[in-house]
Amino acid sequence: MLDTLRHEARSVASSPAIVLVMVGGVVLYGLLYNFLYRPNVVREAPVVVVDHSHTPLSRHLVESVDATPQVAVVAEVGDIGQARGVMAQGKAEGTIIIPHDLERRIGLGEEALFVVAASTAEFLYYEAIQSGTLGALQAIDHDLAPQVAATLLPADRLLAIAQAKPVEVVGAPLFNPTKGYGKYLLPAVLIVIICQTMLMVVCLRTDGEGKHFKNSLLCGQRPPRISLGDTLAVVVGRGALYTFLYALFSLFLLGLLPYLFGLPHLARWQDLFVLGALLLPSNALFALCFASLFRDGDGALLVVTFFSLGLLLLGGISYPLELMPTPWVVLHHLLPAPVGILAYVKMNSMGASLGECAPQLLTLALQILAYLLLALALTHHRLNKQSR
Amino acid sequence: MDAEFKTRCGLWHTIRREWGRIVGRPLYPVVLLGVPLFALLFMATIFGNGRIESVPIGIVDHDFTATSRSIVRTIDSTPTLAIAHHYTSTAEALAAMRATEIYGYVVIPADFEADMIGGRGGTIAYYYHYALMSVGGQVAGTLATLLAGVSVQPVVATAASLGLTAEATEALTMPIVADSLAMFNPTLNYSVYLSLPLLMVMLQIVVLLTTVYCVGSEIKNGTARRWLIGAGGNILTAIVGKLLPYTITFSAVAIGSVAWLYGGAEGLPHEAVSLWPLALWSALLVVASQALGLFLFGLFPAMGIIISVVSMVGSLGATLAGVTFPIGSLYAPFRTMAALLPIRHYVILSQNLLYGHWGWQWAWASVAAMMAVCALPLITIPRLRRAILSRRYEKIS
Repeated sequence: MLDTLRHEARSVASSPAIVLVMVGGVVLYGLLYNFLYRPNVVREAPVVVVDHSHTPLSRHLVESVDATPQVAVVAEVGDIGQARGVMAQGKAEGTIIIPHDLERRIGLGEEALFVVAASTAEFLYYEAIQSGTLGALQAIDHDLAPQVAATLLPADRLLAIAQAKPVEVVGAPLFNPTKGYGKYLLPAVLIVIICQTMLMVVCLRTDGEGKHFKNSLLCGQRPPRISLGDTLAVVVGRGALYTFLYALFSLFLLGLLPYLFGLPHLARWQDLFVLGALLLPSNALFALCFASLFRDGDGALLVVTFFSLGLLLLGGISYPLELMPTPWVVLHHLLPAPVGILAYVKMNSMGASLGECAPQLLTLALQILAYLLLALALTHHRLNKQSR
Repeated sequence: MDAEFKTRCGLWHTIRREWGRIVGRPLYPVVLLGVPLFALLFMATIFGNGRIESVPIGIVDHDFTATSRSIVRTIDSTPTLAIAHHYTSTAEALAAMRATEIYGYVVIPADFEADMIGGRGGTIAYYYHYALMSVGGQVAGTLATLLAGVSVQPVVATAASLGLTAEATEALTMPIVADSLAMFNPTLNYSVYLSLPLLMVMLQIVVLLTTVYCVGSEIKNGTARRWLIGAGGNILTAIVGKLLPYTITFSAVAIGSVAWLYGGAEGLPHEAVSLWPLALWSALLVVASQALGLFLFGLFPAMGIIISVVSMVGSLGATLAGVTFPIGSLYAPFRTMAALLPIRHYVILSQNLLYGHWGWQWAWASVAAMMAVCALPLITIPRLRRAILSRRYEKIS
């Protein structure tokens, strides 16, 4: 087994393509994605205003919306057609339409209405426009309420309504207090980088092994019969090497980067160690099984890379697992990366204990067992096929 | 002699040779058909019915009164939320949040009803999961709307006792109301929003890698000179003949996917008058992605090295397409990088057509950008030809 490990390490180190994936994938990708999502929150979503009211109140409304960090008024135009033109150019993501009777209705003690139409082409802009306008509106409504009360009620009853205290409603986001997009997505991306680059490395390593498979695996020795023990040594040796290498890379990706870029890091290092001790071997053994389906490693990459996005979605943090159709929930449990994503986000972003991550950790342990058996069967078959 | 040579060499010969390679290895049918169809199935079904509904949330009710029970019933009656559990303490609810059993919880404090009736206000707190942003955002939005109604109940009760009408009370509690419209996707359906762009992100990766692989494997396996000779020594003929079968197959898959998503079984809503332009843009995305792959490969024609680089470039498409985090909010260098990727222009074009049907005058720039990407390989093709003839990249892996 030690021979296999040594031989494998030499092969990995001598291949420029593998070193490129490891350095480029782990270091560059880790840094690049952190810089990509460094803005973290969406600010100043551009909107265009159609103000038919032209009153101090409508101007106050527009200024209040513009003053929120989420929204920026980029243009004021005369009609909806012109607003549509501004949106078509991509200069605005929403339109605020203020009707001509806004101030008059308030003066009459009637409810006034204005329209916020936001494009859903980019959801984060949509959410920013909604929350920005509603936030500004709450403050304006609070200021206007006494004026409306004075219009509707005689002076002697105003005190009663002023004393009617509304219930205070307080909402707070948990586990991501700044509501940052980067802080939500990046932990999952880091796990995908670990799992996918490991899969790529294993596929590239097995490239062209075909007829030299046995030599490559058994370090040039040619025993008369390949025993199960030999196969076990090969599979465990290879799995151990990739686990060890990616344990080192994980120190950078899951240790240094969250610290440098202010990503969530609530997990205790002991808990992360347990997660790594299950996720990395599971993914390494899965990679050995997957790579053996392909004749050449470059060809395997064609099938590996496209599904990075799928792994991210299957992780269940962008879209809840409860709402996914059953076959995709099953796939979530069969692959190491999605289970690893969920466990890591629970531990590191939510501060969940090992006990609270038990379903994911148990799934990873079962995956290790299943992929170990599968890798043994596939490798033993290939080795014996060649000895014949 | 020359005429005979031309009949055995040239474009048609190269296409036939490539077709032989495609049917001769199981990998190609898998990549050409299996992978894109799997991606289509995945993106068309992963979001279920596309709407976030019956999200489990928790209740921590310390009040145990008719008022608190009424609030709980109000929350439970919305289709977006489903009360999964009542907890006796916030610590229990928090633990359930960490175990992702619930995605939010509402805390009704002790003496809430007494405070409300006694004119002392009272406070309701709600917490939502923001490590899982999309579902947390939905929970937050729904609870904010529901509890806004609860918030004004003391004012409504006082107004009623003073003899105000329902309309006047509404004006009193919320003088100005915003009528919020979600343009182009009123039900906030995830499939409408994400299925097509994310599918095409996956397709762009597959096309980029397949292009590098089919050209690169000729160099890697030492067959590139035979390929070039088969094309009459003309590198342009060699490339067009090699890539055309892939262009046709991938375009057919892309157009079929558009038809499936918008016209077929999925029937996603859209505002396009005709889907033909989208079919055209889908084919253009395929050609531009092939061109980008060829350009990148031409920079350093050693497949082992460049295929990893291209796979990393392709993966960036998921972010730089601009459907998850807005491009306008990225740093300037990343905005430039996005402009170089065909998928970004495809997203602009598809949204132009499907969301609002804005018109050609706002689309042509993206078409021009994609066509410019199609011209990029002209820069590296001479280098590729030299690489084939010199054979010095064959041993690099």
